[in-house]
Amino acid sequence: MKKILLVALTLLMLSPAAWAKSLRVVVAYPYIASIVQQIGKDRLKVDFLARGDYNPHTIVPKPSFIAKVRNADLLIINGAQLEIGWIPPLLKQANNPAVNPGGEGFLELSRYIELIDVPTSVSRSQGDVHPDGNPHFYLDPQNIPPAASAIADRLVKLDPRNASYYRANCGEFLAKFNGKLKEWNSRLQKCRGMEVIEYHKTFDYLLHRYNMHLVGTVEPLPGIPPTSKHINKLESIISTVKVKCILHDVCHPDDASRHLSQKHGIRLVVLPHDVGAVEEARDIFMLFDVIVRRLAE
Amino acid sequence: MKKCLFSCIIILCLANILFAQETEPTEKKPEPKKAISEGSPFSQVKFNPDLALIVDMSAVYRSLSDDVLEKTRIRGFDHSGGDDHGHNHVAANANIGFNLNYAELALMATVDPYFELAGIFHASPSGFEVEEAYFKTTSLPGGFGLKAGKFLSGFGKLNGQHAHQWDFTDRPLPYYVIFGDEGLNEPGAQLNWVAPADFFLTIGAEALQGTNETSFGTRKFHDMLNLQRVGGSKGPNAYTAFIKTSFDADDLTVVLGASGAMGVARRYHDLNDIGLEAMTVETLGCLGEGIRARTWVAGAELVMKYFIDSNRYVSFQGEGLYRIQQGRYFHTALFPVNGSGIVATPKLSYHARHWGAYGQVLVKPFLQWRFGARFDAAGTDMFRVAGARKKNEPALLYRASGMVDYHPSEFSLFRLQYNYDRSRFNRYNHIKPGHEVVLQANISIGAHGAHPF
Repeated sequence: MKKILLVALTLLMLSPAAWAKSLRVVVAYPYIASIVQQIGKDRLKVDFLARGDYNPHTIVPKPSFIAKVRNADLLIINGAQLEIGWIPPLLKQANNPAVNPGGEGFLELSRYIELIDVPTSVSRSQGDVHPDGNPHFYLDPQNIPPAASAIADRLVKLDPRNASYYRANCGEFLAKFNGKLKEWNSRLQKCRGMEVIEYHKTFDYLLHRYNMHLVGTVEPLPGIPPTSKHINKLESIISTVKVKCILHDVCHPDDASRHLSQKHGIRLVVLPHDVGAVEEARDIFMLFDVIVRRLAE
Repeated sequence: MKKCLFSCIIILCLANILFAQETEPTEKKPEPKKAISEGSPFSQVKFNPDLALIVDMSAVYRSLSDDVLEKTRIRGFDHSGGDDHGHNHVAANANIGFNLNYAELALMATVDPYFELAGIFHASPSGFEVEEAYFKTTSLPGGFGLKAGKFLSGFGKLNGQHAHQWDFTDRPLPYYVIFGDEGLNEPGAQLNWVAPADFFLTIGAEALQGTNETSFGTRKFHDMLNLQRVGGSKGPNAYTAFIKTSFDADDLTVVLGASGAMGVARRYHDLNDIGLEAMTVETLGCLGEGIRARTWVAGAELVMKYFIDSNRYVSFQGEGLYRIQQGRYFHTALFPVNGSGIVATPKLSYHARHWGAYGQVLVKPFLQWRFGARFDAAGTDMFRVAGARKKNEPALLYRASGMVDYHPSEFSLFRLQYNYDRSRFNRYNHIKPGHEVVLQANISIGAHGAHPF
């Protein structure tokens, strides 16, 4: 009996599974986790920090996040200063040099995307501005493939043993995603030229890509809740332009958007801004499925 | 046919003109790829540290006038709080009317691949003070971090936070009576370690200079007759250790922590420090008094925060502190304490036990508003000089507070707070209950350091 145990133990020790510690990846938002999951599958461990249905700007840096960052080999963030309010204190307290910005264990996806709305001058009188440009780039599905490639490249660099595995999975993911992209593109054709209002400048990349025109936001300035004066201003815009829908997310109070929608008979479209923001958006594919379905309804 | 030729010629001519216009020779000058942005080619503007300015001001109403308040003290903690006895630090919200509490200047940047450096300076009516100035490692392996310089100790929850991070405008009683008006903020070094666990667990230890006025002290002293002398400290005079852990249960986050501090208290106040004005019935005839005592402080903290959704939460935060001091009591008096001599300086045994605690509840029901209630208390558990128990030290002093604050943005905050104060006594040992209303504004510009949980 003892012998068998010993042999089993030695075999266990020798097996690559026992030796090879899988890569621990921690990501800021669920959408990134979904991409990493498709590329790494069972050969890495991925954990996301922020809840998908919470406002991505104002995530509270809970101590449990510190524990996750402490143990990470790779930290992937959205970037463009979307996490400025909550990732820095985590890095400061986690004592993990592997994921310090600038190193190989830190990946900022916004660096691989051409950002829009880069302000020419920056002042906080304009509200919660992002000097690098609008950080919500990932809500344009066409920005997902470059992000996925950047993730695959970094995984290969950190874990070369599984290089071909990651590359193959990434290729598979891109093929599937590009297939879906054609479907989404054709379904969103009918939205081209549509005039819309949104709560926060969350879906600008999507609007930009599909030629929808943003005529106003419900919040007067980024991060500042709506005021009655601003709503009056929006109403005067609504009276001159045929606004087709008001886009709202799940993490801001919807009373002002709902009021405008009911008063002027404009369709209120609640869109998920991340995986997990609404129940049906369980992965990156379903996220865009839901967005496209609700927009093109 | 002629017509056709004619029109062809016209078209050709027109095309020619257009073409000529398009290819008008333009002079090509070599131009720099980027506009001249910064004056010097050796400009280091990009390396400037993150810079922030935080200004805190208040308008205060009190039922006790400034004069009356000045002559009161928190009984049992005679030498606590920096606002009496001639110490030069001015507390926040000190005067009825308008107060500029402080203008905080914070600079922070990465030094090199190994360190980051932070400097936080307070300009206030007390003068210009180095609130914190420390470097911290960024690349130690194994979850370790080392910090050295002058910094707010990691003891407890509230002590490590800057005043503008607090949920109420003032320091609650336990911290005020045990660590004074500036908290445990000392030159020293801190080592902390984050455990490689699935849940948050951190352990830290500090060696501090231990100059804290209310619990420690490094300076030598002697009485006015130079009969009793106490030597100064010969090294770090205070040590702390803390352990903190946290877990999430769905939308509830719980943080638990325990802290300890130990060191030697040395303090002496002669008549000049105490002042005739502040003399109480007990200190009548006292020409000077002091202690040299081993000091132990234990602290426990509990934070619970329940997130209703992205914008709303309910939270509870509470801490308890307990301090034991054992050593010698020095007393020079016109009237002897133990019946020997007219001017006596007996060296007596000293044993004091003090406690303090606070609990606060906060509700954030809408986007920019928060409401809170706090109860803070402190008292003397035991006070023995020369083995004799002093019975008249109050066991329970307390305050009750309510507050509402409004955040137009992350960078501005307005807070209205009401305190009912039953912690202060006049010189005849009568309690002087007070009402206090503070309207506080806290405004910041520049790099806004995100706050830890």
